[in-house]
Amino acid sequence: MTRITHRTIQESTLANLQRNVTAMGALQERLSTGKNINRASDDPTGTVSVLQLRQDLRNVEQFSRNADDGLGWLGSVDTALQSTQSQLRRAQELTLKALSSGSQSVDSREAIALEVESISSAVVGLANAKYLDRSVFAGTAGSGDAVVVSGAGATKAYRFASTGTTTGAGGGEVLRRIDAATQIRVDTDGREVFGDDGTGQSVFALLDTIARQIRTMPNAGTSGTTSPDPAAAAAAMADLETSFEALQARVSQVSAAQSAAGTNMNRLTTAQDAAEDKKVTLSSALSDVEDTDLPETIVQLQMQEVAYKAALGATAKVLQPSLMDFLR
Amino acid sequence: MSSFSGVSTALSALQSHRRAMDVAGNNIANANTAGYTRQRADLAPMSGQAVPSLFAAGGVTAGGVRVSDVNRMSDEFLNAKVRSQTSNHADLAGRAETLTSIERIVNEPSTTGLSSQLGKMWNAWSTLVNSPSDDSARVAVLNASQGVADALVSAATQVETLWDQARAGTVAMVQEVNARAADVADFNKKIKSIVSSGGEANELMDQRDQAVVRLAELTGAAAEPPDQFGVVNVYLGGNALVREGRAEQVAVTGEPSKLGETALRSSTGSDVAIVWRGTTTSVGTMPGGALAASLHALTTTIPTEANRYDEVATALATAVNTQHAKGVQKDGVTPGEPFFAGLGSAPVTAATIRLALTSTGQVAAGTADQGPKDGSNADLMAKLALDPAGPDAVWAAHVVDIGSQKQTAALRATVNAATMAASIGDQQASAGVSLDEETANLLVLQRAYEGAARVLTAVDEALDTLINRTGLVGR
Repeated sequence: MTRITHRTIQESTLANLQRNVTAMGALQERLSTGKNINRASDDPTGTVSVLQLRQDLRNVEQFSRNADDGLGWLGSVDTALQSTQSQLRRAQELTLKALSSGSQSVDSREAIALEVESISSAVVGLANAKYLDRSVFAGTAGSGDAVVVSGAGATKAYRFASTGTTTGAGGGEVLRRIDAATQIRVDTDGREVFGDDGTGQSVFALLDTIARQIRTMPNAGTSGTTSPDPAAAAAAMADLETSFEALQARVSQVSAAQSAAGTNMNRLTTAQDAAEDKKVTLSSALSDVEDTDLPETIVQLQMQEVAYKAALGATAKVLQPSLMDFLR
Repeated sequence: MSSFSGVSTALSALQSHRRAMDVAGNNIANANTAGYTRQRADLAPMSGQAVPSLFAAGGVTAGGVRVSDVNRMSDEFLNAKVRSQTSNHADLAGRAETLTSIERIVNEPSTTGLSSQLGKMWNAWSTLVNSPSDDSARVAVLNASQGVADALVSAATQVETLWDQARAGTVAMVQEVNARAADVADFNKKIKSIVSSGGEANELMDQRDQAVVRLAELTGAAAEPPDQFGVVNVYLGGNALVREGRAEQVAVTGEPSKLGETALRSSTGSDVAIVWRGTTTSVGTMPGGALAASLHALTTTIPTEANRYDEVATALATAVNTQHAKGVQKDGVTPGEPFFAGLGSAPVTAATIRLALTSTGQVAAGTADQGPKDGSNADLMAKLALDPAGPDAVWAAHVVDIGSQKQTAALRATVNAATMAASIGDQQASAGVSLDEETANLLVLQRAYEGAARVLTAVDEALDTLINRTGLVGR
């Protein structure tokens, strides 16, 4: 038979009480921190999930910020292209006017030429459009305007700022990362849209040429002046027509660029929505892993408290009596 | 048979029971004394004539009672169980404690731990992609990277402090081992001289056994059962730590504060060991006890931890420096210089890692020939966060490893604590004082004492009749 002494009862009682208090302490910690995992050993696999989920969450937030920034870029590109489009359409109208009424007076042709020239400089301004002090048509080129103008008169040339350190090096694209595998281009290559006089004819030079052509057009049939040479007049008309066609081609290039920017904008918006959704999913997953289930933990704590009180009551009963109490 | 033998029989009963009551009283007095083993007065009849002889008076009855022995109710088997469980528990609890300290240094998952510092750094690189020429974004990268380096250095310092503390603790424990071993030897001497001269040394044995349990708790030392003089020998790693009245001493070897030196962090760990004092002979593998846990922490756990931090630092420096060299600085021409470096010319470890860049212009955000506002290299840098061999992955693996090690160690310690409590309970059940039992004994002894007194009265009355009332016929 096992002997039970007061000392053993006392020790086992103390140990039991201690165990109860420890369990209560653990539950209290979970409640007060609001976390199930307070240190790696609480749940090693859960800890990996927590680290992974937090990293994912940080990434998704960053992707969302990237998309925000990209939308700003593309917004600027879109506005600039839209204005360019309407400016070029006006230039088209003016050119048509000049073409259709060859008998206009010098003054009216001069007025048209001046307007075309002003369109040219307006388009240069649009090609220099900036977002947060960075040219949206100059890729990764350095600071300053995107369009670099040189020369004057007939030799005036428009070139896009070099993006590389060596002249004429390939343009760096401005990309925004929207997920681990995808980057979206948020700028538009100005050289492609507006043309570059180094590699062809720019739209600015084209507009300048059109203005010059309109201004120098022979006066047809104006009374009191020398009748122009019909052949020269026809040649001038033909030149202007060629320029008109070139302008036409440029307009469609601008709208193509605009729709490309629009597509990218759509992708960014979708990516941003996806990022927001994923943020919610990840947050709830993280919460599932590391946050305390309050009702469950509170119920557990209550139960533990009941157990603790019972243990205290039992202790009070069992430690009191002794044979001494019953002897005279 | 003498007329007065009844008196001496009653007297022996009175004396024996008084003695037995004293023992019970002593038990009650020591009911709460730690390490006290209950004693029992064994009563034995005083034998009459042992050998029948020619002149022996016939019908020999017993000549009373005597206390044959004050028995110490100690069970050597249970004591040995307590010693081995105590030493196991000290070992396991010590290991769990070291891992708890390490876990505290690891500080994960949290919003301030290394993983979130790394995350902040990668995010700073990501932000730099969006505005590569922006100095504030570059400053953010430098600051966040400095934060990572600081976190590593601080962790490495804490690990070294932990090692120093563990070593200081080991030295203190070794001193206690020597003191306790000397105590045991001293007790052995006293016990032997008392027991061999026929005395009782029960209280000394209690104290000696407590010292032996403490030795087992510290070193896992094994003890032999007591010999006929009550002497106990204690063995450590097969050699005697205490033999009769002589105690050997142990000492710690290995220079203090050596964790920082790489040589001591090789696969063989550090050179801390316990040797017999004055020799270079190791006491051998510690069979258990707090010292075994300490040595394990000093030679394996903490150096491994330091190495893990170094691995993270190296992975970080290698990954970032390699990618940084592929980019160009703000001027668009100069290739990126090493981003992280060791202090001075030291190789990169967790303790030496420093941010090597001094100005924002040195941050290589772009790639060569991609224009001054290119951020493609920063983007590739930010992607290192997802690299399966990158610092984040190395760190996460480490966190899980420490977490599961600590979990296992804590579980083993808890289970063992229950086993130890059970074995102590068993020992207490045999050696502990039960007040009820002592009270009942007292009751019985008191009654017997009263009975003996009554016998004395009866004999006295009989003698009175014989002496005073006999031969008075007709008077």
